[in-house]
Amino acid sequence: MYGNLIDALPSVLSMGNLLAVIVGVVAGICVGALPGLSATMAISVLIPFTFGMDPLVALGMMAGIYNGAMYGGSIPAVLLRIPGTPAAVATSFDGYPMAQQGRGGYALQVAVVSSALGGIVSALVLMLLAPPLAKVTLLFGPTEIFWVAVFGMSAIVFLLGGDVIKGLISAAFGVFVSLVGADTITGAERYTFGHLELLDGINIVVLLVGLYALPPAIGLLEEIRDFDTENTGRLNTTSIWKAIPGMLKYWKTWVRSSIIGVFVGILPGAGGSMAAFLSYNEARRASKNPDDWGKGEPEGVAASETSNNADTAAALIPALTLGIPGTAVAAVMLGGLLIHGLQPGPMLFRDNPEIVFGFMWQFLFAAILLIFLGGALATNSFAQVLRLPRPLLGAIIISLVFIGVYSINGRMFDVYLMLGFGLIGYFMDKLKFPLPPVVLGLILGGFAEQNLRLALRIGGGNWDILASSPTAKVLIGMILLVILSPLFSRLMRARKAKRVAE
Amino acid sequence: MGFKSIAIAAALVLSSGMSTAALADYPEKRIDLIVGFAAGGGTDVMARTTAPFLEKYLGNDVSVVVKNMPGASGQIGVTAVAEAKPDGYKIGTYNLPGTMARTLDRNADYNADSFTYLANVVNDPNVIVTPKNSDIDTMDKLVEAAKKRPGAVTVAMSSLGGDDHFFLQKLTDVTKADYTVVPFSGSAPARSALMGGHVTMGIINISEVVAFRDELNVLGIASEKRSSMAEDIPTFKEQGFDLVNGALRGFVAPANLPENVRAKLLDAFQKTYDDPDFQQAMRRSGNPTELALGDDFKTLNAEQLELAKRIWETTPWK
Amino acid sequence: MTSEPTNTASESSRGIDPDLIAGTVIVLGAGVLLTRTSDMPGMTALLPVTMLSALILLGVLLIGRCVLRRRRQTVAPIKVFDDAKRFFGIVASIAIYVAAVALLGFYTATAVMIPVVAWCFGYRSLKGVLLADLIFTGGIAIIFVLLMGQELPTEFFLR
Repeated sequence: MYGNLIDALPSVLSMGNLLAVIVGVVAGICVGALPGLSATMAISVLIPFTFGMDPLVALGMMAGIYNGAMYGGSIPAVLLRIPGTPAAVATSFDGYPMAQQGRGGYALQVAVVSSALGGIVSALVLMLLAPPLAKVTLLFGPTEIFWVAVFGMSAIVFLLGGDVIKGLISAAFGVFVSLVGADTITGAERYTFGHLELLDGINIVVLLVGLYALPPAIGLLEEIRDFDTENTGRLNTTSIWKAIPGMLKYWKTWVRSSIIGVFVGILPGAGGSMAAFLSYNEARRASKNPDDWGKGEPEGVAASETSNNADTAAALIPALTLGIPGTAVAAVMLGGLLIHGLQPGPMLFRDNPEIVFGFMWQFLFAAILLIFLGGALATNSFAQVLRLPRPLLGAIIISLVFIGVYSINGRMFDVYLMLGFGLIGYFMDKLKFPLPPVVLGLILGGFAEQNLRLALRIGGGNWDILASSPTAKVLIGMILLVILSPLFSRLMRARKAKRVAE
Repeated sequence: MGFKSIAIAAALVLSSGMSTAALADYPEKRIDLIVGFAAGGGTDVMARTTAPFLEKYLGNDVSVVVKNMPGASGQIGVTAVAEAKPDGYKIGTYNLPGTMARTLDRNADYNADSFTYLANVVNDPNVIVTPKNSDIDTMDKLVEAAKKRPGAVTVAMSSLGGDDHFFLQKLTDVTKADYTVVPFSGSAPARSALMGGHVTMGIINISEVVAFRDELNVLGIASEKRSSMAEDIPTFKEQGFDLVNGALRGFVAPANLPENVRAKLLDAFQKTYDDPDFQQAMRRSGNPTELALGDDFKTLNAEQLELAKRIWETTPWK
Repeated sequence: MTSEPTNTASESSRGIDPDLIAGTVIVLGAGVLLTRTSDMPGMTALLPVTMLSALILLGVLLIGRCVLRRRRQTVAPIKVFDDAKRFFGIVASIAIYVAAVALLGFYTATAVMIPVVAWCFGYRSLKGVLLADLIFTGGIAIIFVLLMGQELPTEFFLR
């Protein structure tokens, strides 16, 4: 198998295939950086177009777009507090405050280095450990996936923000939105109001663009939004190579977030945003100064960006070996493989090694290229774009938002839905309802429910099944640890203080 | 190069244009092929594989353009086809039994009479699979297990009201035992749950199992004859169970298609099906082919609708 | 389509606390949606009922807190609009733009919308507006029509 890896290298290094990766990374950064456009949209637009292409050229472009967009999404998240992709929501927590303090350039450098590192780890894991990790995926049946979702929900405690009532309202709203559509287990329709377009549920991109990209566009036209163009426009960037040595102190976060990203990636259906939320939360928990988080802590940017890129190639492990994509983007990419007659499964590795292993190399190159292509040049040019006169920028974002949402399924319905979410998002923002719990609720609500009910069906309605497998027991233990450890450490601190006092 | 030669050239162009128009007026512009699923799915790949062959056999340098209208498990796309103008410039893919089952369990804006049935090209029979390390590796053991404790056998499948669900109903009738349905969303998650041993058995299609032969036990295939994709899998009929069922994928046009257009399309589909290159391309993309053309397809559709109605009336799934 | 403070916020005249309106909208919206669960099978309805009940409860808490706050006069209510007229102008332009895209086609609507909106909302440079319009609409046309062959809503003169 490792011999196949070496054999696949020459064809990847051919001019055309290498160019495809470069074009993909650049396109991905642009798509991610433009508010309203997402990687899901870019790859679904690309797929029909690749039908006549050489498979490695098509796959190289997709690998490039995926990696590029995962970083690109952090550019508007940092500069405008508009996450360019769902996975960049957590990046904006600390990235935007940094930009307000005039450290936007450094935030983006941390983001690009972390993204590249996460991507490299992920690609190496895909190359070297795909078959054993696919076995890990198989350990996760509905019961275990339910517990992972519960684990993800533990992040909500932090996301609630200062006002608990409003935070919980946001979360409940997110969960409710996730329930719209046909219930896959009984087939009954929930809140579709007879619209076929709602039967498959509400696409996260529609919600995200509505909540996060439209209100700032309205704000830009109102000219009341507190953009500090003076600071965000001036990035104060030094050369990225000079900045890297100063970042080495984040190594623990890089390692932890890479592991979280890869782990979430190999689980079916969880996705990059969950990876980013989880790893942000864990990094904050491990930090010595958790109170600085959310106020411009570069480590928060590092945590979120490392793990959302560590999720990319890892999400392809279950996609390539089992046909179950780890993220929405991987699902679309799976379509790209099928269109070239590449059926997922163990046979894929035997029958088409040069393509599969070539694809893996392309992921690695795309991640490495991020540092070169996503460095000073790309970020500075996007900072220039974002310095356009505000009314013009607002008008352009409105149009981009339209393209991004319309192109996913090619229908107006999604656009109307997005406008509705835009209005909701505008008022939520004004009334200080936090937005991240909505996203988390949408990602995890229906997902947890469906898996819980599948598990109960398998168990014949018996709740014992939830703690029956060893994997489930380990997960329950982890959840308890996460919930109890803050209490425990507070107790310890109190006791210590007491002892010191005595 | 005088006036005369130009006039002759013009006359030639005119006459040649007129003669082709008289011989074959269809197709004279682009044909849209509506796919009710996102790009890259099984139905989409079938459509994209077929399109160039249709272009070749319809002639007139026509272009057949695949358009994806995903949503509501194909219903949005198929409704668009049913409501299109019947001029042969908008045709679409068609899935059985799903498309007909939707007329029962949902409010559909179409029915069996809304279409001109062109050709069904894919017949993907159901198979029963169990995890590799499972004790249940024959049909007899399966039936025994299901009878011992009713409902203890859990069945992973892709959705409710699809071919796999109908197959389970047939199995329930034939074996007179009870099973518990566990509907995952999609056959790949169902297959993975099976490989991980989280469910007792699974019902999927032969095309979804050929790449996983080493990881799964296949107990039988629900077709009349053994499949060319896996000659070693015995049919259920061989094993004494009268079970034939599968997923069908084909092409339809709106109802009341003009007769000459219909004839032209049927002819093109027949020639496409007979093309060895087409067969090879379909095999490569994992689509088991079986042709039912025109009226045969219509009959097939009526049979599937009848089956769906029977199951819906006795055991509605929602 | 759902329960957040969308429509009624227009009534947020000076005196009323926006949180009070939000709470009322949430409670009413969730209440209306709750009546829709009656025809769902048991397990299907479980989570929606839980979530909507939670929303009603939280909405009531929000209202209660507003009332308490008002009585104590502690915190000043949040100001929703700096300039309500401008806000409704923007919402109307977005709505007109989307309708125009559906009726007239994407490129026509966009080519008109960008300069008009930028001009109306304060960017008064004819050269800049037209140049940006040309670059943006042209760029999108090059990418979507020439390179990708991807369709956005078709122009009215091509249908």
